[in-house]
Amino acid sequence: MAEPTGTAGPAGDRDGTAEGLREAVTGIWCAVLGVDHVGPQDDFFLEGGDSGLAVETALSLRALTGTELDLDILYQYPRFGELLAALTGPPATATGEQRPLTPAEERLWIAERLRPGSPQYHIAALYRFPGGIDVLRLRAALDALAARHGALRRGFEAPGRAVTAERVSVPCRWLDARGVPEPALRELIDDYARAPFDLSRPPLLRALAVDRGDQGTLLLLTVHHLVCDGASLALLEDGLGRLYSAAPGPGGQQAAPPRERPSAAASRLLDRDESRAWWRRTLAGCPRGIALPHDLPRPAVPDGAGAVHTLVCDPQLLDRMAEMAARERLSPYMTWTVAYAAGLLALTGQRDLVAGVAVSSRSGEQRDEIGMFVDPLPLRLRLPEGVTARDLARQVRRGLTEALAHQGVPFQAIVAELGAQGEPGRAPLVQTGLTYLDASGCVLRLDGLRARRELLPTGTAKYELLWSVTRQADRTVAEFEYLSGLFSAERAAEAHTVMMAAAQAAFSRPDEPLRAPGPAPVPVPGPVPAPVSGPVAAGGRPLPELVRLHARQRPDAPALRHRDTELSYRELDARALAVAAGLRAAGLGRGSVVAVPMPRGAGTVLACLGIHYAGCAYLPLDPDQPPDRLRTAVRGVADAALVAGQAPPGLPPELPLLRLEDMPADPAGRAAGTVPVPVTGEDIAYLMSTSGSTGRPKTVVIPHRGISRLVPDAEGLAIRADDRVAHVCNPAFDAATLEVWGALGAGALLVVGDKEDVLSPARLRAFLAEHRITVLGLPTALLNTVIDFAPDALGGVRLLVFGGEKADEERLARLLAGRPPARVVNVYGPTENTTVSTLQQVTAADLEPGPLPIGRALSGSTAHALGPDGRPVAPGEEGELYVGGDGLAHGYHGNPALTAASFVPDPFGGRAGGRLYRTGDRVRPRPDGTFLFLGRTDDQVKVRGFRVELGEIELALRSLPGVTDAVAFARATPDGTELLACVAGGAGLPDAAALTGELRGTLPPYMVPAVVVTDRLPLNANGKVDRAALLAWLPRDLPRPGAPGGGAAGTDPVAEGVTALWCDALGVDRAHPDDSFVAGGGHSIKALKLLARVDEKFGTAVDLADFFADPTLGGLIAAVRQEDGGPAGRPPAASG
Amino acid sequence: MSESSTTTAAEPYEVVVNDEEQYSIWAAGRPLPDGWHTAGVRGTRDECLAHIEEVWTDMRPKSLRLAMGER
Repeated sequence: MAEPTGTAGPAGDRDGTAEGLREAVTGIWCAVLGVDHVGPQDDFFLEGGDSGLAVETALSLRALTGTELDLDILYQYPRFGELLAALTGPPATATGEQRPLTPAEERLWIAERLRPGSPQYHIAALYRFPGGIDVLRLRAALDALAARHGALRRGFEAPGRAVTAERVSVPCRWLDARGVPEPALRELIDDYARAPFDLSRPPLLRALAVDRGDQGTLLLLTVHHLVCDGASLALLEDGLGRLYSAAPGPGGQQAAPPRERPSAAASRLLDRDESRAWWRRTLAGCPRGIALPHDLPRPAVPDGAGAVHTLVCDPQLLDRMAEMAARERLSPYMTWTVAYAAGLLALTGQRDLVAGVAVSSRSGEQRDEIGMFVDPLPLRLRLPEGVTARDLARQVRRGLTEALAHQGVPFQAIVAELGAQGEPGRAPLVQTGLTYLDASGCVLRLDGLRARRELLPTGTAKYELLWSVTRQADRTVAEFEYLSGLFSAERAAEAHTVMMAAAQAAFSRPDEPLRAPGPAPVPVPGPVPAPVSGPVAAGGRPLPELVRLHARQRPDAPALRHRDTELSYRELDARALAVAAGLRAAGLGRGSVVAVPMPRGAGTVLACLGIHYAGCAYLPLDPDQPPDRLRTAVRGVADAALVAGQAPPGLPPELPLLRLEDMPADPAGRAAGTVPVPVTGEDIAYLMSTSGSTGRPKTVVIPHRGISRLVPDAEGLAIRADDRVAHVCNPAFDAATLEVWGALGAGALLVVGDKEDVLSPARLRAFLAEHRITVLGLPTALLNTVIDFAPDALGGVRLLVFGGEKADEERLARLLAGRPPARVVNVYGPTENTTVSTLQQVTAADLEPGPLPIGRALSGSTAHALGPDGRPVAPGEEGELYVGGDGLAHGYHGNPALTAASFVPDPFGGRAGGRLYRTGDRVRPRPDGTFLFLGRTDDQVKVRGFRVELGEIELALRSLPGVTDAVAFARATPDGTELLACVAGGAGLPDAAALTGELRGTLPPYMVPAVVVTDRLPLNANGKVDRAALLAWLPRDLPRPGAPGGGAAGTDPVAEGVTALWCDALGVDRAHPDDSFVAGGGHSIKALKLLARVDEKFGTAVDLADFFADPTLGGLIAAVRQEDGGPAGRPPAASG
Repeated sequence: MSESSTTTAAEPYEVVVNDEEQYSIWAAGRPLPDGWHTAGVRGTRDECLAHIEEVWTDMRPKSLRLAMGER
């Protein structure tokens, strides 16, 4: 290590007092050792220091420096010069060479930043020598080795530079462990192997020699993967042995250390367009995640803790592999890749998968260089039905060879090329890997002593599942390294055994089809009891009666769970009765409407059931919508409001307000008798507010029969008493009907998911696993993200129901090919026909011929495609869909004309006086009686699953001061539907930013469009606004509503600065505070880079996990402000 | 559902009502489904709807009103 210099560092402010420090350290050293002078080369232990004195010295140094320096600092820096240098600051990097990181280094550097101080990428090699070794010679040999190999003098600094020091000294600790019991020793060695490296302070190599007396010596070499790889470790062993024994190396003693090759530049030169295109082609449409059969709920952000399960390979397997290798001309790595693929197929059942393979990027001239020359490459494996091991061998041979030819594109670039979005907590694209190492000749020779290498586990995992195969001198060992946050040790052992058995089967019958498990390879833990005998005969009974029945028949069965609260049917019934009694006491009775402006939660469910018990109907409302809109929705509809805690702003002051807290369950059951109030199927169950083009929401009135015909036992959607049903939909939208009343009507358990639980696919997966959910309903858009990012999340689900937007056949095919739910059902239906009008079970066969139909009418419902003349259209022709049956709403509350226009006489039904609802949806009937969805007849659109009337947006705009006319559009983008509006007005017209600001006060966020201001709107020949001309005229890329950069945001340096970094990270031109980093294509590596840059610019360290808890631009800005002490905090630091 | 469809506004409609005393509109001249009766009002679509807006004051189906003990 260089002499202390004035380089800035942690102790850099002590520059002026460096001489003072030297004197003080000299004083301590001399006092402890009883010597009167000291030189830089003096060694603490050779001068008489022992372990006691070392601790004493360290304590004195702690007192001197006022820092918590390591108590074994004397072991790390036994020489006085080194010790002083260590105390003064980092090594003299200013004199070293600097270069950017190679892609391979960058990957590990980022992993390190993700989990600072993790031993994930430590290589810990243990050697057991039968005799004593000379620690002084070992130390000299290590230093000499570092002098020869730049990598061993290399450190890494933020934001991503490799700096090679001129000289370093390799820390070499010596321990007298005679008589120390083996377990204690093992613990000590593990600690030493796992202690973090300070990456900025080379060398990233250290040694520990342990004297075991008669039992010989243990030598532990710990080196960071950033500067070493498997092949390098052999070079290191060889070089160390030669230098220890003073034997000349190959090519003799080198006079000067070799100059650093600009390997970073070289690897990036290979980064050719052609290779990029090849990767793009090869990985097009590949699954982004592998469906591993782990048994633990996936944590939002795994901590990287891992463990290893080891199997010794059957010699017979090795023989057969060698046979195949010889015949098919495979390298050992290729052969193991075949075994691995067979194992993954057996484990996941996934027939299209991407696995990480490790390839060497070492060039010929780097043959003798220690360093990090290993790149992971994504290898796509397709394992169609009937594929044999031999087919696979040929596929692997070709795939690996081609991948090697295109390895010039680093892994991160391949991910970027695919636009591969990661999800928090899951590595992008590749979550499993394979390594193979022939270590049969790997020994360390120190003079006459010889010891075999033994690699120690580091208690971490690099992948969710890594299969590391090592050929040793006498056997071959397979290690199954897994994230212990995902797999229990038992499940890991089970999975490893399955893999190994599959590999064995593949090679013993190389020409027979590989075997895959069924759709659910590993059963969901926990017994699934048979359906309860004597099922409740739903038979159209109103829901409240069914719940009461369950409370009587199975009082202790769990009914409702939310966070830590769990209510049995008896408790649920009692609490709901109390709510009903409270409502009765407040003068509400059969037919009264009670507004429930509450978010999803156990309280809301209780409130709704209590309202039913009182004979009333509920009006669920999103409490987060603009107050004006909430007021409009309630006024004239509700007779009272029931809230939990604080009432949301916007409730009309004259509306009676009741609180759930005031209605505790009454153990005496005094409520009995007056409640529950019996109702019929025609009684109103709930009212639901939807977007209306008149600017006034349309309030759909749903009777109890609508619910009863849907739950709990509609064909194709039946829910069982042993189900656990997720409640993840917004209670203000009617998808919640299926969840809540489906579960409670069936006597099943309803599990409420919080907002956070559905924030990301990873969290949803954790939620599903934690509660072992068997019935799940998702909006199509959310299902799509789950398939993209957490395809294994749904394997335990028995019934998956999705709808709300057009299905994505390609994604569904991927879902079905992976680990699909037992039953997948696409549902379609407007609120006016109680949640579901038609349904289609989705099987692979349905996805073959083309677009997925919306299916057939639900039992108890009818569906017809009618022409303009009111007659059914022929199969293949286009018509408007009319639906009828028991699901039909009474109509729109307080709107007779609209009801009469929308609900028309039914000429087809068997029931006299029946009605049909005109859906406004264009469909094409197919010969098999199913319908294909084509689009709308009007300008209603779906935005992120929400039903939106463009007219309502236009009306809201026209009501703003200065606006004379407005037209709203929906435009399809790759990310979904986007809303735009053109606004014309006079001189007083506010600018676009001000207009969107105003709209936010009247419309829910999903309805606020991007606004363009123009002086007039073009008209067509009919004198109507020419929408086509406007749409063509509108710029492709409009600022999103409220985007920083316009209006008030322009004066906010934090928001501006963070937005700029955000845009840069995602490669977009602009961003909106609501934008999600994940949805925008960001993955954890990009996030780290972004956070590093935020840190540089603002001096604010935002934790990655915190960021992923709210991965929006707004969230990040808020986090920076918080750290910064508010918007008025200190100004952004100048760079550097 | 379109609330302001004007494509068929000029065609004659009639106001119809069923046994549940639920109102709707029907293209005049087409055979009326079972259980529906004309209410004696004919006109454009908008005229018919305006009439319904006037007369349909209790939108609960008749069976529900009866069940709730009202007339």
